[in-house]
Amino acid sequence: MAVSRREFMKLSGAGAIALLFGDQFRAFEVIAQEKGLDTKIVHTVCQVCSGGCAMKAYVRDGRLVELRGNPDDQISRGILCVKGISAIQWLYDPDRIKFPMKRTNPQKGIGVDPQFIRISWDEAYATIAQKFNEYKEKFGPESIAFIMRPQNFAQRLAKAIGTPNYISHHNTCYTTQEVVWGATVTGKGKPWTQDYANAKYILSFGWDMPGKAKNMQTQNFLAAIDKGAKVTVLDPRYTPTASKADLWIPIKPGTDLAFALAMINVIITQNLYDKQFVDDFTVGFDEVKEFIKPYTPQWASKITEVPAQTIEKVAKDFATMKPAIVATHKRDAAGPNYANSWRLAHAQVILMGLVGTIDRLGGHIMERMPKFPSLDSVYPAPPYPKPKAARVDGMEKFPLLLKTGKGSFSTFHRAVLEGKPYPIKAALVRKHNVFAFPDAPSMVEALKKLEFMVVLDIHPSEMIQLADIVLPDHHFLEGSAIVGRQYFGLYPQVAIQQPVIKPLYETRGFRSIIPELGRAMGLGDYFKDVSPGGYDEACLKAIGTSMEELKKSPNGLWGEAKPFVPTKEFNTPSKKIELYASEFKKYGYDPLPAWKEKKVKPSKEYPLYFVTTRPPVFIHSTLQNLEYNIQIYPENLCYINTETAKKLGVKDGDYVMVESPVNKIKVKAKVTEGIRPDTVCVDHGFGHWSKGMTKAYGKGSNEGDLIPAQSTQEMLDANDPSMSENMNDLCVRVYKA
Amino acid sequence: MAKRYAMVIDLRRCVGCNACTVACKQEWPDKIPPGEFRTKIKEIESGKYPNVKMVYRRTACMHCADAPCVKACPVEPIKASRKTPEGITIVDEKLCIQCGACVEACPYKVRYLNTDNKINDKADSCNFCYPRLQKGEKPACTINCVGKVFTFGEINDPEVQKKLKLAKPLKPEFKTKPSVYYIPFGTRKWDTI
Repeated sequence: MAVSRREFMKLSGAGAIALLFGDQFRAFEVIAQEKGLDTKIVHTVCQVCSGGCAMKAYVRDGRLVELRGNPDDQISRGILCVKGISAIQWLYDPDRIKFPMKRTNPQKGIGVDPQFIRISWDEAYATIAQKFNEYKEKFGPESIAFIMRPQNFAQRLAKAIGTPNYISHHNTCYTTQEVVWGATVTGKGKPWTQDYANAKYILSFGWDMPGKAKNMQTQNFLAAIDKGAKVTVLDPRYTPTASKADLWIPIKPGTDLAFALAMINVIITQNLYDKQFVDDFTVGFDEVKEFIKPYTPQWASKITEVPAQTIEKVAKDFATMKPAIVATHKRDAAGPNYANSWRLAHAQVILMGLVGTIDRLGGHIMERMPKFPSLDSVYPAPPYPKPKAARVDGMEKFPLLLKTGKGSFSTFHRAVLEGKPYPIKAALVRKHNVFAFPDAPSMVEALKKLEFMVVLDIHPSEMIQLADIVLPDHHFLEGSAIVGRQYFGLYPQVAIQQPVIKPLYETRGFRSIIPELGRAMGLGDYFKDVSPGGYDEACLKAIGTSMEELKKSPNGLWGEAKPFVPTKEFNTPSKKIELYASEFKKYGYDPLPAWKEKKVKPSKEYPLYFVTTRPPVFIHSTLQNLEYNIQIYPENLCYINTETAKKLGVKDGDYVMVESPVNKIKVKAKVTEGIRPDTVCVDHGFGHWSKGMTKAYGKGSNEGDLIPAQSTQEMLDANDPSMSENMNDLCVRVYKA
Repeated sequence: MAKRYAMVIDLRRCVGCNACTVACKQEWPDKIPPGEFRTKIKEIESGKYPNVKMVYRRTACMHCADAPCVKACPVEPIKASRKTPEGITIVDEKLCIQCGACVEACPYKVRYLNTDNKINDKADSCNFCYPRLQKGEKPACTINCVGKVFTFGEINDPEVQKKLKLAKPLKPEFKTKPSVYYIPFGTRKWDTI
């Protein structure tokens, strides 16, 4: 179409642009309207991480085009994080597993094509049932392992089969905090709501959730800064969180405990603690007072290399700028990173107890989830067979961890390789990959050794490449559930998760698969009438609502805002916060967090501390196959101090070898002033070798290869109640590749 | 009178997560080729260990009133690189002759020439999500930001005006009158191109 400049100038607005240039600059809505396309908003819940942000999905002509946070949700408050919005790419990734498959190549391993062929769901169930029943018969039910997060439908199936081996990854993630908070405060685990927004002083021991763009934590952290909160970050690396702090202390890796103990010393000896709170809500103060005497700032200064007056200043600020919070989530210095991390988690509870910010605004908030009935009370089950064998991961020897239902995937693989205490023949695996785990090459060998492995997933992960039967899960945007507010809830609130679009492929929801599999195995008595929809309805009925009501809710949410009522009784033997942990004493652990060094220190051979971080566009190894996200962060980096790099002859962008006593990996160097000269930091989650992950395949290296695995005996010898896998307790050497 | 838009980016609040980058790529799947970006976070480190400082800066087309890319565009009579009545800089892919003059001319280096002819083999840069603006929506990058870094709207909007008081353009010495402004993070270095 020919338009003169004069005519062009006369035209204005969208119509003119459209007339001139076709659809290039026209709003989709305008086009959609003309074409009579359907546009709708569906309320659902993000399941990328366990946070549970309620989201609004914009669907046009049957296609999801945009995701936003639900403004009435306590967690997301109208905003999603980078991972949440990326779920669109995940949903529509053509690499997704589209139907059940079986392996036709008996060979297994890295680089081996499984030669999967498509099968029906019926054939998949029949094969799994036949195999599982065969192993159960021949080798006992304990020869079948479940590798997945605790989930009530799957836990019922495991119990019905009679296997004690329900294994999960948590001792590489947060069991240190889980066990400590359980023993001293909650009776169950770590609380996930932190009221940063109302805090006046935020102290991080390696916590970097803003650097991971964790939605609720970042929003609340920045809100606190807006209101004038002071922030101190202890971290060997200058993280995005440190970049917002008033003070960055590049603490020596694994010495955070000494710093925390000296803070307790200052707060007690200088009478800076909240006497009322300590008297009313804690026990064990006198024991702490005696115990803490030797841990002076001068003592800690020698260990941490932080000046004593800095430690004293931080302690004073922490105790006087009220309310003060120790920021912590997972995999920070109090996560299972160092041999002394569980002790640091305990010292953090003591610090918060002394300043009175446990279940108080501006502090760590106890769970306020709606009270849903258990699966057993909704669908009573016949008696379960009593497991005849102990768990292969050795968790019974860690009774406080056993209580949490979390597991130890990292000792499981050794048990499989050694065939001790008995052989594991088969596994049902969901959302666990071979990444992240210490000594990942051995883990691959262990999984290869299984005779029959069933893997449920969305993406064709490395675990899928080792599977005999593959079952495709719904993507969360295709599934249904009801979700309490996991990572931030000041009052009970429920969000509805509902299909945004019809399932794209021949996938099924996990909670439907499990009962179907149970029935196929002849365990139908345990799954009589059991259905996800029926269970959700019973849960909603228990809180006085229904699915119908929730579906009609204008914002997809249930639960009125309620004023915050602070907890007066805690779930411990004394009903108080146990600064001196009687549960630890009872089970033979240190009842107070006495100083203990991290396990491995720099040597001539391995002179550098090793820490890890995770880029915000991924969640561990998940989301790496998303086209745009991997373009933004195409490989993992080794952060190295400018001076250290100079000594090693390494320039920014050079490839370097990072070598530990067990393995070496090649990664790109990122030379920076923002890290201790004696420390390197490597990004986690890279090194995919599954060719099914076409975008992530071959990008970067897996730092899990560098981490030595620990045996159950080593964990027992450490007398650590959490089976901490000590993910950063190693040293490395670095040289130009 | 056509609307005039401004964007204010608060560098104090950005954590560098690149949610804006992902949102942009998802909004324009058919326009931005692999490895290219209309917007991206630039990490600007300054100082010496341990007194290091960092600024994360969302960087994209500045939508300059006196846009060098428009001046450089040789296409006549209607330029391929031009301003809309709202002051937004666009590339008209129907007219673009792939000469690359605009890419060369941009002092902020935020335009690229796509050589991948599978998708949109023309010059390309941010257009403030012009189609979204038509239906009263904001650019895709501004919607989901955990740092609430963005303020976007008509230049006379009180919220925009409030933020503009704290903000300044990147490299004002280029004298191109950008529509994108930044609130500096204290005295930290933030203006690296």
